[in-house]
Amino acid sequence: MIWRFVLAAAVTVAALAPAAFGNAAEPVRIGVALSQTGNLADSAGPYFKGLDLWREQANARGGLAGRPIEFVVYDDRSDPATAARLYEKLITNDKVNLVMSSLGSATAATGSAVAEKHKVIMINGGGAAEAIQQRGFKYVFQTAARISSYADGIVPISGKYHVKSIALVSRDYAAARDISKAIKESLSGKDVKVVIDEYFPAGTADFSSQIAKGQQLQPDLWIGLLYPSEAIETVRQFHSMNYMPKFFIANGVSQEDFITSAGKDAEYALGMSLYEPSLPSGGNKEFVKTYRDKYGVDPGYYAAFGFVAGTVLEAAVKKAGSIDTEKVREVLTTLKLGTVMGKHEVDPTTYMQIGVRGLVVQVQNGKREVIWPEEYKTAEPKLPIPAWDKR
Amino acid sequence: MPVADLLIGGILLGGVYALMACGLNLIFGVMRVINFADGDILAIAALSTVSIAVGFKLPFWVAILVVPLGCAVFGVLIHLLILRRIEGAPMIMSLLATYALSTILVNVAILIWGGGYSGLPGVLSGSLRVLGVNVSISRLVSFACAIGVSLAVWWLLEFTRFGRAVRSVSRAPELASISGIAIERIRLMTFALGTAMAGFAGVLVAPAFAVDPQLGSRFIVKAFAVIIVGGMGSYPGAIAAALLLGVIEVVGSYLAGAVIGSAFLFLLMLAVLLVRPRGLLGAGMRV
Repeated sequence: MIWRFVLAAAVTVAALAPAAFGNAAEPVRIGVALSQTGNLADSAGPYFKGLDLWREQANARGGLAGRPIEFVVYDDRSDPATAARLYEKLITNDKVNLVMSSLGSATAATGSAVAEKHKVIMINGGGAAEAIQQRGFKYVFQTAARISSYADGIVPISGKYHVKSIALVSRDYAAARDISKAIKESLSGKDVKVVIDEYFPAGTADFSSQIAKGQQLQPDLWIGLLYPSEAIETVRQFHSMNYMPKFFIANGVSQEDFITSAGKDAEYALGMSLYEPSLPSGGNKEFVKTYRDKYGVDPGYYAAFGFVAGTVLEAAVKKAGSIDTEKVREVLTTLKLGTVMGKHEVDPTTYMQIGVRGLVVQVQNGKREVIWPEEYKTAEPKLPIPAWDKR
Repeated sequence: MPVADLLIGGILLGGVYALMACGLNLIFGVMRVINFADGDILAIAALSTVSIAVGFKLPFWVAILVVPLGCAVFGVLIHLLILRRIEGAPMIMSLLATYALSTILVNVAILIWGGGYSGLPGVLSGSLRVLGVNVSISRLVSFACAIGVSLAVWWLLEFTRFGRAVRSVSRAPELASISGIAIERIRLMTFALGTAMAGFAGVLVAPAFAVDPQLGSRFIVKAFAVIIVGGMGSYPGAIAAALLLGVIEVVGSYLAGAVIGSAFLFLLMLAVLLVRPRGLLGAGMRV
């Protein structure tokens, strides 16, 4: 009889042991649907490198609430519907503790809806569109810079150099429409005229007609919301038509490919940027150094997006003292933090990112220098941009 | 309206389109094969040009010699390994095969070169001032080459023994075979010549545009539009159509914005397909 009791006790203990004692070593599983193939693959690569660098460093610090961090990653093939299906699988099949968004607004939008449905926290580290946050979700927190922060520097720069007329020439995609709207709103009421306001369809490689208009209407500032390829083609075609506005700014300028592909034609161009390796923000030097040591290249803003998503999550778990969803969620609603991208802060109702501010950079001697805001400046601006024959 | 600027801009853009359509046109005209991979061969040629000029620091003319040759060899391989095996099958087979090839080529290019953009800074850059209009040097060169290559191919097809053999293979394969023409060899050489032309176009667009593995997909639709409007297989037709489409795109974008401007191009394509399906100067198509 007593033996039977002992045996039963032993079996019970053996069965319970992994749950009771193994908990400390059991990893926190974080699910990510990543675009490893398809048109977002190039941007998603550095994003995940940033995330993985954070995971490595965080694990060396003891992980999340004392548990090591593990990623569960699937390829969403850059497809929003696939992303949704994969988050469903991550949450219901793989039972991950929380999820990180994929990179790209379309995939982050569908993925975040799944996380919300299952009441699982999603750190929206890669979806910049404001619309993702404006749906009133309770479990989705944006750490990626919101799309309109690209435009932050336009008004100060226009004011400083007395810009009177603007040309807006943009690829027709959702983010460009958002940024363009933000620019027009911030300029309304000021003495600035929009003389060209045009979108072109994806696949356009020729800007002859827009440049002809520019030559005729002479806008002071030419704003391009462009992919890097289009930014490269724009300056090269400016040169081949011997045209240069006094100020030219585009988001594609702040990508590494712009300088290497456009060469000398890239000089003086202004870029809207969200992150630069030279940014004197807290912890950035260390981040750039460790990233370079691990991957052999400087981090761009997608890498910073990934790293910041992890940093914010780690800080929230630390403050909450556990990985309990409701406790971490509560902390995330008000968390403020210095990150490598500057500041992290979310809007208290939509949890949209409002801490990260856009930067303005200028290509000088083949390098991007931060020229705005003042506190992050790495070089003096060289403006207005000189004509082609005066360089 | 700056008429001269827009017309010249349009004509030069048309030259670029004509250059891109050359190889596609030859392969269709002779072999009745729609080579979907044409744009991707062009992209790989452009990427190779950047590697040669920037990576290996060799002069640009080395690429002009080496890259089209490399593409011709590649064309021979495609023909021997794929197209020859499905000869005589319905046209959809070659269409699917080259489409598959296109997907493979894009992804192989991404593996080799990465998905980022590159370019040839400083090669053929800047402008010439002609009669008060700024003319892009790189596009002027593309335009001249498009005309040159088209004339050369037209001459080759119309006035040489090889050309007569090619034409007879394309129009009456059975008769050609009876007359002792080595059909297989003619087809192989035609395909190699077509891919070499795609390669040549790739070399010349490298200085003018941002180069990446998906460069082909940005231009292939325009190249198709050129040969549909011009008439599949017709060289004078392709040149005329390319210039027309270039001018329509530039002037249309100027007047109505780029979104509507690029729609004009497809409207024209649609109109041609409805009203004159064989194209402006096309010989007509027998399936």
